[in-house]
Amino acid sequence: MKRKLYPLGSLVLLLAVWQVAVTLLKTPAFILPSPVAVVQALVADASGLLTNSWVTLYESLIGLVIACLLAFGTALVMDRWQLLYQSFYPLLVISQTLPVMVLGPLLSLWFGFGMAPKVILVVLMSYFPIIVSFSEALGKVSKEQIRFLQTMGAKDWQVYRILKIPQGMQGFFAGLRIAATYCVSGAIIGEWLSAEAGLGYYMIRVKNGYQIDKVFAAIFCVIVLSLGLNVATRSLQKLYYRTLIQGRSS
Amino acid sequence: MAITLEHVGLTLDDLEILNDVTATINAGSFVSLIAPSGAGKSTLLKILTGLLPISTGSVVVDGQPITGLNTTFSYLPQEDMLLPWLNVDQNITLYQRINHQAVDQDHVTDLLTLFGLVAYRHFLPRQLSGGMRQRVALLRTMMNPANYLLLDEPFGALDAMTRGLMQDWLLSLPTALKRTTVLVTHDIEEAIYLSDRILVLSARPAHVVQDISLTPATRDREWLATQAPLKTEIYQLLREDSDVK
Repeated sequence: MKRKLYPLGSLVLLLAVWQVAVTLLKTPAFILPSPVAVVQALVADASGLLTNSWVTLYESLIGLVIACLLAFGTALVMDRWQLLYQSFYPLLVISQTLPVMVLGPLLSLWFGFGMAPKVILVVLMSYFPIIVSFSEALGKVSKEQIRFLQTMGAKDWQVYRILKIPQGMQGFFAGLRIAATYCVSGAIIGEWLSAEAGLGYYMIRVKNGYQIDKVFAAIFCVIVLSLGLNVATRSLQKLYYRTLIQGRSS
Repeated sequence: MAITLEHVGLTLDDLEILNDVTATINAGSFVSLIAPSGAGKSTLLKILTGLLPISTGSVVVDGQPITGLNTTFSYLPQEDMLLPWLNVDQNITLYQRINHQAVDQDHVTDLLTLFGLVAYRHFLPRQLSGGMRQRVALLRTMMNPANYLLLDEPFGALDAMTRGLMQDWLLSLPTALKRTTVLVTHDIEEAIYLSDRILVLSARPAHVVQDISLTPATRDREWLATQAPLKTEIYQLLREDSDVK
């Protein structure tokens, strides 16, 4: 409990320093608003922020789910057929060096101004951490253990069902935790480029009106969304292993 | 019903591991393989299960040559290989699950009782002690109906006390549960205590240097204490061949 209080204490201290600095230096609100002003903006525009947060969350979740399904499927296929792994995995790793957001303008051009380009951006940003982490976890499953199952008569698909997938899911969830943070960023970047709603769109709109307190309020919402998705991912992992254990005992 | 190894040789990456291993293991016997460290005892078990191909010679089980991965044996590797997300019940019935066989719950309960695990049947492996994990792994091996058991240092990771208890317990198992068993061990006493026959292998490249038969009227710790000369004899054999003098 005490350990959890330390970062909280640091946060309060940082906010206090921020508040005091802004007050003493009389920093204009359109440059750097005080934390109190940000909270006031949060409360004042709660409904607008909630509506736009929901749009961003919706895009993030749809993109994340698609990325999960794609990464799960492709990782399994690559693991099963090593030729595919050897052919594509290095490309996947190299492709991670490309900042996906640079594709944003192209996606807007190709898919218009609707939800599609944002979701695709989220998929691209979330897919790589999941597939890389899951693929590596699948590859690390002990060959001895696989062969041991085969001496019991296990077929290929049984090796995956009984051993490889349950063990590899540790890697899957590790990747998912990273992706859960990236996916909100993906949606925001997509909204910056072309949108009619969402936190990214909201941020651009209020920034153009020099309402920097509202920009910070939106940033706060982004942090909450990212943290929430991260926590949800951890809960999902716990639920998966609990279900795995209970499901097999029934 | 027998396992016949004839002039078995194995070379891996230019390293000769086995050279002209010849032996017959008769049905119903308990045979221990003992050899200096790194000689290739476990390799021999892997050859039987088909996990490793032989370079020369032949391996025939019940008249059928072993040419690749097979399910003729119930194999217990050095590591217990328990699946951490499965409880004791699920781990021991893995063979039945893989082969879509019905599990006789009464039989399972009887065996769990016999193995002292009935109170722990819903426990996960991480909740068990080392000795209990080994018993679970051994029970899983027993649940496989294959005629032959291959046990690769099943008690190697246990402390001396627990190992002794496990050996006593293994001997006390009902005859109905006992099958043709090949045990790999580095423990000379364990080999003498449990086996009908001991095959002493040389250092790499391994071959059989001594074939010892044991037929005591009563097999217990008192009898084992009288086997000191045999223990010394085997020790000398291993020492002569060991890299560490």
